[in-house]
Amino acid sequence: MAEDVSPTIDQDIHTEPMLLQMGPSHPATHGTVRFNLTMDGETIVKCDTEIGYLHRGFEKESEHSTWNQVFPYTDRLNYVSPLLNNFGYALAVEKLLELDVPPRCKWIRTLMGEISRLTDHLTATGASALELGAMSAFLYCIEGREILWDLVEQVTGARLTVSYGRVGGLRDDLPENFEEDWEYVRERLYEIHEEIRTLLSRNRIFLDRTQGTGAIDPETAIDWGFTGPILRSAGVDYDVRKDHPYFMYDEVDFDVPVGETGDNYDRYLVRLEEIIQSIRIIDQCLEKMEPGPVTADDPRVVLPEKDDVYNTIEGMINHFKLVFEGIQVPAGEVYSYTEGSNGELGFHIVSNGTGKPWKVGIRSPSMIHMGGIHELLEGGMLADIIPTFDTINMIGGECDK
Amino acid sequence: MAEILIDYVREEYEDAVLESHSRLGNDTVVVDKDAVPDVIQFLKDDDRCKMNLLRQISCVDYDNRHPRFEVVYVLYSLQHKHMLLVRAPVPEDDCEVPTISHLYRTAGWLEREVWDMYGVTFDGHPDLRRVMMYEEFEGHPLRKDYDKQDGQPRTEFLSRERDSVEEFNIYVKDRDAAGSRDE
Amino acid sequence: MPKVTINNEEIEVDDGTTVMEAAAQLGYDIPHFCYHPALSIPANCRMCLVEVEDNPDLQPSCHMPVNDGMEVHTESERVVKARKSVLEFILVNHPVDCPICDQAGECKLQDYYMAYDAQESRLRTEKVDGVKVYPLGPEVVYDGERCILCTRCVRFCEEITETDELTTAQRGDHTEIRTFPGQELDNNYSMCTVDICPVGALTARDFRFKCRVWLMNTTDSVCTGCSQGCNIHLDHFRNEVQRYRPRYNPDVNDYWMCDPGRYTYKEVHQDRLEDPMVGDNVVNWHAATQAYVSTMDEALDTFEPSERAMVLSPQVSCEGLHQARRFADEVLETDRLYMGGKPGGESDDLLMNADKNPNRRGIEYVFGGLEAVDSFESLVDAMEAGEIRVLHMMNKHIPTTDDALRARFVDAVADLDLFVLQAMHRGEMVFPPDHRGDFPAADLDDPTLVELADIALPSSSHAEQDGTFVNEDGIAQPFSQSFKPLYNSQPDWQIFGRLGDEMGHSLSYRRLADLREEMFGDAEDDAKPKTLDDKQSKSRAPADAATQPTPAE
Repeated sequence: MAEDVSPTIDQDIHTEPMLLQMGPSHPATHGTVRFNLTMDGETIVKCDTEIGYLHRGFEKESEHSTWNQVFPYTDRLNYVSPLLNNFGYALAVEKLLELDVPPRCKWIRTLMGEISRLTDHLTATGASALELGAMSAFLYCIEGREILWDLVEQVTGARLTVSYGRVGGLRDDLPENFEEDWEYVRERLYEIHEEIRTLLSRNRIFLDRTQGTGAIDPETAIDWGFTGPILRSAGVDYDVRKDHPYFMYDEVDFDVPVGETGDNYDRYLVRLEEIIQSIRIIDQCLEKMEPGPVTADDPRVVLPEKDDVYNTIEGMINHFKLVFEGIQVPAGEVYSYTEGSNGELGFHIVSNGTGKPWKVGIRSPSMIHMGGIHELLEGGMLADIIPTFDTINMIGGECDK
Repeated sequence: MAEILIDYVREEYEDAVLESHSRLGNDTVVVDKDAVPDVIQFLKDDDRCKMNLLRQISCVDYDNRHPRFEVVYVLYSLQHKHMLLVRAPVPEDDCEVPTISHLYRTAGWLEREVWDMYGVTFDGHPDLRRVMMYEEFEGHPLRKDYDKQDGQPRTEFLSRERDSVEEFNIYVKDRDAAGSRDE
Repeated sequence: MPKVTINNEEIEVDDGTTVMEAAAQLGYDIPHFCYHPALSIPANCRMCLVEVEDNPDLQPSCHMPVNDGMEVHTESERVVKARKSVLEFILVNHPVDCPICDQAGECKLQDYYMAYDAQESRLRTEKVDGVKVYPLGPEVVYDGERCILCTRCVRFCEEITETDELTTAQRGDHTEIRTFPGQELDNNYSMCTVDICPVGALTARDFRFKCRVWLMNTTDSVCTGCSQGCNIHLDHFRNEVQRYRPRYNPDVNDYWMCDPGRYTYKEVHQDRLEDPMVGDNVVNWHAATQAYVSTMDEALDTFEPSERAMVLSPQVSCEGLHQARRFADEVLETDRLYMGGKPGGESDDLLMNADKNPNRRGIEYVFGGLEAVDSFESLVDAMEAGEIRVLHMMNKHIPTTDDALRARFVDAVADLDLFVLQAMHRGEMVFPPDHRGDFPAADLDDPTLVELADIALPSSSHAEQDGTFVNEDGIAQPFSQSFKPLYNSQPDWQIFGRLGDEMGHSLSYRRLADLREEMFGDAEDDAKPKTLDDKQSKSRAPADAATQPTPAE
């Protein structure tokens, strides 16, 4: 630290700050982010974050697609929890349409959303462990992620880029053996959770590297716009699922873990506990769900049955117009927000009354966290960037849109 | 729904408010763009409002409408759990809004993003440069007249040096002035 | 002036206005199939039924005249239910053809189904079959299953073209549109029936399966087929014109346009001169301009002003002609101007004019009268007499059908010292075209004017530039650019500007708006050449435009 340096030292020896670029192609900056670091020895004096390496023009492309064609783009936002993005966007468009979806649809959305949250937390925890050297923990987390993805594949047909949500409902109902498969996954996830806890939570090396590093106090966190596990680790009890419930979150029982110090260790603990809570929510959903339709009953929004499409002119016209012109969403503007796995995911949607959106703006938690990450890094050491960046869990797709 | 917030704003800043409405779960107040920092400061500091979380700054390009742009601020209060949207229409020929980066630190990046994507400048912003696009990018991509397929000129390979010797010296000198090395 | 209340809004209208027109003035669109503002009103589709206070039955709003104090509801429960029922009946025998039907995307049935019906089918039996792909004439193909028997096409042939080719045949479920035995739907406006058909029952042979409607972009333009200057919607996709559709203009062409005019869209893409040429070599614009400058400088020194001539083309926009005039005055310094363009052709009572060039009146306007421009025969005579040594020709058309005269011209051109050709096409278009197909080009063995040209410069069509045409009645009509100039061509006004600048005169304008400012600028807004004289428009003028509802086609 600079205060340990004798005041006369730089009169004899010429010192200069070192410019270090922890560039986009770094194994630890997954999701391509660049840190322009000004270093004084090992200490970071100034950090300038640069993002945009994964910018794909999501918002611009959405303006040229119909409302339902935007779903594949939303998959690729936070690509480790695609279902949460799908449903967040569907919720926003349904608000504009003032359309209510049937209860079973909401249960399934809650359930699948929590599965996505599980995959994200497992990835974040695993990656943090990996980059601090604990490769076994990473492999256990990835195993957990794999069995979850198998479940997702059964339901949606794809592991990662699912496009499962639709305006007015879902693509399809859950398969019949879902509950059975979930039993196996659930047991295995509990085991994995226990493994990780024993491997990491009292691990000397892990504690040394994550405790006390990347700390932030609640007021600064709020000022920087942090939400999600980061804000909760700092001690602020804010979870959109509890405060402004949507889908069926007000009908399930779950706790929201809140940390104390806001450092990396707390963030890791918050995520670990959220895994247990998500499993709890999924169990309750499966218990309380009733059979029923999964799409809204509005032919102007939802595609008709294929049988009707091929055999009746009405079904054909319906399908034709919905696919080629898109759903005619009345003109208006809405800002709708859900709890993404990293923070609050908001969709600011403007419609001009036609089948294509006029604007789809995304409030991506990762980008806002990147805006404030230099606050956590400055004053710390170079090695602390790794656990901080990992527990912030910036997902490139979400940050750069 | 917190329509009461609209009333508070109207009380304090009646002449700045152009319009207000409450639709689809969003309470909105449309204000004159020069009044934005005052209105938002009021919303942040007033005890009844306490909007301490700036959720989003976004911009909408209403092509062929005058004023062309509209900057949208989404504010939220963690204490009272209410949300308000503040919108400021910005005409194309006077494409500038006073900054609120002194009120919320997250506004720094959010305003940079709006500048990058739409070309709306923020008067008083300490560091208005591109955030998602690279520096040499020409134009503002999310504007409606920027064609999706537009190309960009090739850029030269630059080697960038940032001179942060001054920053280092400030760092060292500040700590000197604070007397941290006296013991 | 009766007052009527529609959906609780009162409006005062002229006597004789129908409820539908009154509603359109208030902004309420009432759905309809058989009604067309330019045709008689049969009220057979029953889609426009509305509820009138104190009347137990629903009334067809297209036919019912407004009475003073009438109260009308266009969105009441009975009306909504009636619309659903009408649509259900129409759709009962309608084939599931959307994927193969041209009309998809501009089909009234599709639009109204989504807007007013959105119910499932209740049909439990088989649909009634009809005739499919039945050619009614050389241009139009009929599909009996899709037809909803609105009889718009029948009425069009009776009332507009007055040729009475179509009628409804058979009865009940099996009713179809047929021509009278021995006749074909073969008048000059047969493709207008395709426009007015609300469903895909009548399709144009030329456009069948060509391009999907939602893929096309539309621009407002003017047909270049004849001097009537019918307003059109130019539909294009990926920089290629797909079709013309008539645009409503009560002063010029009403809702219609002729078939030969529709086919002129092919001229934009067929056989274009793609690049500038110097002799036989393809060069770029810079080299061509340099070659022009060097040869023209020499020619200007060698030859007197009276030995230089210019052939003007009435196919070119007013802006191009304005530049041509300045070019002839300042660069060529000649007043030997001759009229080119396409030769005359057939005309009829309705829209087709004998003059097949869109902008002859434009030449009159720009050059201050047609006396300034001499006939083509006198040019050929002058050339053969050796009086003309330098010729700058705009467009390749030779305004005569006399083969002998054409041959004389081509021979005379071969003898010129400097021949500069500024044209759109490479081949010689034989005119009048057979309006059922492509424009046949001349034999490749014959030396074409492009080959004879010392310098050939490619110019752009009306689809590739903004401009103005003045039609035969003196109405100046602007047309818009649909896509950027194809290949290496440039609009005429830019070519002249460029050549003039290189020759040392400042002729070019940076923007078309500046050019237009100079052309039309001193005239007041109203006095911009709207009518150069009081000649009445040939098309049937409908009722006063103020009582026209939003023209539904």
